[in-house]
Amino acid sequence: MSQSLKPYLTAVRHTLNAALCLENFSSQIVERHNYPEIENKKTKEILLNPMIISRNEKERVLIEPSINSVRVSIKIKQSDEIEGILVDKFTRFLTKRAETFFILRRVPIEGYDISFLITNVHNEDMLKNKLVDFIIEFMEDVDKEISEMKLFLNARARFVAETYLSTFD
Amino acid sequence: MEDWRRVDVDQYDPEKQFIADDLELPNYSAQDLEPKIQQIRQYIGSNDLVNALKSCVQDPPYGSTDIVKKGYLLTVLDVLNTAKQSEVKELLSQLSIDEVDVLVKFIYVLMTTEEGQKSGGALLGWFDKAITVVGEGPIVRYMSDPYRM
Amino acid sequence: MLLLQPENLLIEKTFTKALAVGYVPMTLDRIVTDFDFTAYHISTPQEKTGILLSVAIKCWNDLVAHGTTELLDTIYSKYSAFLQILSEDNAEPGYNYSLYIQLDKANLATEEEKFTLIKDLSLLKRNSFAAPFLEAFKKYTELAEEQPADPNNIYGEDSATRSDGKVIALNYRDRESIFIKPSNDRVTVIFSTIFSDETDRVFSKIFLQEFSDARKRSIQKAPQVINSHHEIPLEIQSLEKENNDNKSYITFVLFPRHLSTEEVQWNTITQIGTFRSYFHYHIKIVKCYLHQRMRFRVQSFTKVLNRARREVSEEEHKAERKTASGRRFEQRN
Repeated sequence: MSQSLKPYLTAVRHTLNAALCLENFSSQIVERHNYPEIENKKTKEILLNPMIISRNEKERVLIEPSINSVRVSIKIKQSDEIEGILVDKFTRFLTKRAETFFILRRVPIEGYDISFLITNVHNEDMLKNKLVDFIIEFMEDVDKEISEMKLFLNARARFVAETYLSTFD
Repeated sequence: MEDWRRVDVDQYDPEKQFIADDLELPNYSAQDLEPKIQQIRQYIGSNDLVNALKSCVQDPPYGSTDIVKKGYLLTVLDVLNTAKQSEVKELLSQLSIDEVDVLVKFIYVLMTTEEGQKSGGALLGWFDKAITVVGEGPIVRYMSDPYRM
Repeated sequence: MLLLQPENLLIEKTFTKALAVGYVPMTLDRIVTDFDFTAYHISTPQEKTGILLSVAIKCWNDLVAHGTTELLDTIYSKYSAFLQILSEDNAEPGYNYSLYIQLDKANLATEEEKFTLIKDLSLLKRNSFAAPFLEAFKKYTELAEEQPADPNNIYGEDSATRSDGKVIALNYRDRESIFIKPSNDRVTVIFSTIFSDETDRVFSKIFLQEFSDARKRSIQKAPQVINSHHEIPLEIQSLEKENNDNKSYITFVLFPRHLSTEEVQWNTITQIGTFRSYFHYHIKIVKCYLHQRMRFRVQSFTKVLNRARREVSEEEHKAERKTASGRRFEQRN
């Protein structure tokens, strides 16, 4: 693990740990409704201060807590055009399978690549520390996956080019 | 009228409005803060980082305009950047819990600014050590803190 | 399958079968397609033993202008005993060039002869595209005789005293073209290509970069590859005025070593001819692989998330639950 990744992930872990303190909360606006309050943002008094944890200009996590839901948005490192495309493809792939990911938000928040929405219901049927583990592991693996895919792409391109050019003999 | 179902009627009801508490914070101008910033810079110059940190976290300009706050935060960033990562733990142990709370708040706010993101590594180092010294309390207190930078 | 085969597999199969011992003649009517908008029609118009093979190529007119008909005539006339060439107006309507093969007259003694015939038939597309290349190679030989290339210039640097021939353009796809330009020390082949998908375009940059680097790194014998993503190469600026479609240009510089003997020349033509298809094909393969990889990764993420789910034991679920005052929940059916 690189030098600055560890404090970044610990900061996210601690912040999530503190933020994932959720309870059931019925809507104050509509009778018999129960919204994730962070999504409709109509009741100001139960929204908490959002937090941004940034590793550098290109990588950051936005955590928006509220009484019954937390929204976690991740901006994944994209240092060039290829990484941009790979990240875009990968996150699109994930969001299309949002049903199997319970906590995945189908549309990321503007300025971020992928968002999770954790509500009190998720917090009740899942273990909180494991949930935090998942997000941390996700952040680690996505970076790894993107760089591996990029390496593969280059290696494959080289192989293809050499095979073709070696036929001219 | 177009899409009348989506009109938020509650916004016209004066009883349903959320009114933030008036915290009666003094609105310092940039001039008012100038001597304090000078003082902090002097501490940085003489490498007295404990005092620099202590004056940073004392009476921050919560009631000021964003531009003034930004100027103040950049000074704090200078202090944080001056310290070596190896000294951080030592410095933190000389602050009280309340002071660490304010410091963690500064770190969070700094991470939203472009300047802070550039030195993200240093900020995360501070954050990491602050949490190991005092625990997750400052995060919880930051989330519900009405005194915002 | 890494390299694409220049011959058409379906034609090859059809004729291998038709020429095999004990073939029962049957009615055929097959439309076979190949790369670059090439279509073949294999049919038996009159009797079951007479197979008509027709080909339609998008840029036929460009090819004819550079002597394709003559080249094909020379290739296929050696089978004139049983193979009738129908070109121009005699070709099957809707197609550019037809060959009528009478199986009952075919007198191929050895397997080898049969094999050569089948090969020649299945390489119809390559043979059609070969003429302009051969013309350019001939022009190169003439230019080289007039003004021999500097033998010290092994790296293919531009010399001031180069004499160039006319550029041949083949508009072989809707908006994509091949340009061939003979000079006294080289033949330059330029492909222009378009990617409808932005992702493909970015991937193509990586691939082309590797094509350019491969020669520098390990394969010195290969032609030099130069790519340009927006600018029109100098050689064809007289023909291509504007690059409106966001075309990429790929330049192959063929050196004398690629043009020395007839055999080498044919190999060069075969390989160059499959370049565009090969290139696009491998971009698609890479995308496919990445997709597979992502699918796998998503699965592993699901596993991690499922680990977080709280296990509710069967017993706990079934156990009777009571409220604080002692009332029971009852399930209504």
